[in-house]
Amino acid sequence: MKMKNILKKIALATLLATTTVLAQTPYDEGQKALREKHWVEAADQFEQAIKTDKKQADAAMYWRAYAFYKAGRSKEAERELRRLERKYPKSSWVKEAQALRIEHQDPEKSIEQVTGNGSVMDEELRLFALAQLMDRDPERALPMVLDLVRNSDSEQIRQDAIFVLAISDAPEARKALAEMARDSNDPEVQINAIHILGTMDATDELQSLYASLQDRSARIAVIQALSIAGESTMLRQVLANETDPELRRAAIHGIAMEDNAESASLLESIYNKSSSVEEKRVILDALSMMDDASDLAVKILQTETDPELQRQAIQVLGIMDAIEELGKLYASMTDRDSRLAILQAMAISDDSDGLYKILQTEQDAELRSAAIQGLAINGEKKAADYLVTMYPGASREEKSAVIQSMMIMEDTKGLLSLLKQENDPELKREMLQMLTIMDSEESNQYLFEMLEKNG
Amino acid sequence: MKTQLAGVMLALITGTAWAQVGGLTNAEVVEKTSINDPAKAVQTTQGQWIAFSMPVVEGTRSPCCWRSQWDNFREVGCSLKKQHKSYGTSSDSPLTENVIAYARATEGEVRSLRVVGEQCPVDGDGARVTWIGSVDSAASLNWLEAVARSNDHDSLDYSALYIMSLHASKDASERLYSLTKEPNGELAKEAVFAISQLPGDPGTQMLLDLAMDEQRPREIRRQALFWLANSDDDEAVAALADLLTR
Repeated sequence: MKMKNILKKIALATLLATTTVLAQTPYDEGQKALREKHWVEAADQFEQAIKTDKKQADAAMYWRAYAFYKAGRSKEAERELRRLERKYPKSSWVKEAQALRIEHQDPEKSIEQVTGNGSVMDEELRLFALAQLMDRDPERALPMVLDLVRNSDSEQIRQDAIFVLAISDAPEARKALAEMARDSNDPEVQINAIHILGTMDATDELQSLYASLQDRSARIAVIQALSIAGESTMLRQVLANETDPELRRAAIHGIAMEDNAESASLLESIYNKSSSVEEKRVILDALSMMDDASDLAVKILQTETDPELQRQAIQVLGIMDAIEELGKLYASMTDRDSRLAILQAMAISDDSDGLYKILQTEQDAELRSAAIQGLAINGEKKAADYLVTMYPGASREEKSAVIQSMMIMEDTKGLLSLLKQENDPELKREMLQMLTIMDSEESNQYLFEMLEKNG
Repeated sequence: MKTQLAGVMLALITGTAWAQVGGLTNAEVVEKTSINDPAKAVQTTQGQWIAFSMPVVEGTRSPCCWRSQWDNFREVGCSLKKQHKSYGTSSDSPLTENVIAYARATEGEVRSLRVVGEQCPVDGDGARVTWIGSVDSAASLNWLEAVARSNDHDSLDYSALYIMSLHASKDASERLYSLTKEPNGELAKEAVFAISQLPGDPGTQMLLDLAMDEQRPREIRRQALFWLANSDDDEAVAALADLLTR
């Protein structure tokens, strides 16, 4: 091999020597400059030749690189050789270029680097480049992106590659995603592809996909994707025909996402027909995702006989911030458990005014304590001030609730003011325990001072 | 007549003369072609504009300022007083062999730098402009590189590198390539952009080299890949696709 290259070099050198002295073209001028060892001038002439004589451009690139090597400009020589390989990969000069490069190569460089066959880009960079290329040349980029989706060892790369497909406008990308959603052996890739079809409003693909899938997780993903796409017809069919509770749960959530009077009416109808407590729980849970389903939650509460479901309906009203409805329910529902649930719901909805109002009239000690603790959840300064003000006239049970509330609100100053005025040793001990738990600068300082005083 | 004679005498004494500078109008032009180094010129004209002509690489389109009306861009010319939002070239811009660079420095630091094609109209807004004509190739590159290095937090470095990318000297592209090795990440990234502006193969090949060079910081390689993919040159895009296919 080495001998062969040497022979080739001799042949090339002979060719160079026999170049006509009547040089006219830039290529000929370049050869003349080489003979005269004017390396930089030769490189310039060959650059002109590359531009003006396409038939000899590959040879001119080779000789330009040769001139650069001779001029000691190996970086430019190597760049020129890579240019030759890129522009004329089938040229006979490519082999010569490889020989020339080996002749001048840094011995420490690996053959892989020299021949350019090594993998020079990791998958992250490759995907970055492909994401850019998808806009300009989707036909070439797409198979490479799909290769990463299917064969990368990295979960992150696989998912990012799917995202690259998702943001592409190319119809081929959408088709590839639909195929992946149907056939991928990688469950995470499959589910991600299905969800992306939802964001692309690919309802036709999703509907045909649902019928073809057997896997429950994939079918749930299709239901979620249809919901994302705003297509509810299929979700209604699922609720009409499917018995699998998980599929029904996904469809119920999808219908709730529609969030209109029609979807509320459908959920009410399903709730009333359902004999499953679990499904009723799912529906109540789904109502909390809707903006205006408080009437339905109240209606369910009024007709429901299961106390657990009643409490869940009240909780949902709290999540919905249905302050007015909760106030009316507190007045109309007289059993203590329901009222406790309502007080918790008021706390969830930050209804401090409702809780103050109840504290003004409510006589039941347990309910009053629950209202006091509800104020603490809100954490408003106003609530803390209110509790400090009411403390002197409060019952012992209420005082205990206030102390716990001050701890929840992390109001060290308020609790210290109560401690200073309290004479009951048990309540004082309770307060000291709370101050220890609170571990604030003020509480620690107070505790140290107290320890010092007591020796 | 007396005034004209006085003007000629003054010009002879100070070594200055009136000259036509590209498409510049509405300016007091003073010619000092004995200075062929922009670095020296800006030192002697504190606070005032200098202008010089610079040969550009073959295939360069004439940069100018534009105005957009809906989606219709129209070349309207630039101003020394204000920075135009729309500046650059289009595929319809005329080819040019030279560009005119304008620079203004105070306290030794370049504060403004513009470059336009010879035909691009420039409103001088009554400013005094010292025309130094053609400049020494190496001196202009030294000066542009120094401007780029000393202004890495404003648009001047970008302008200086862009002008370097237009420069006819073969040394310009190599200097830009060297700047991609700068520890200053921003300057290096802007140099990658400037390389992407080099017309034709050399720029593409440099970007490919940068993208493939595992010794380079990741961000530089990403920049190179980005500009390859977003090049106006279809061959650069094809080269990237080839690289990824390999």
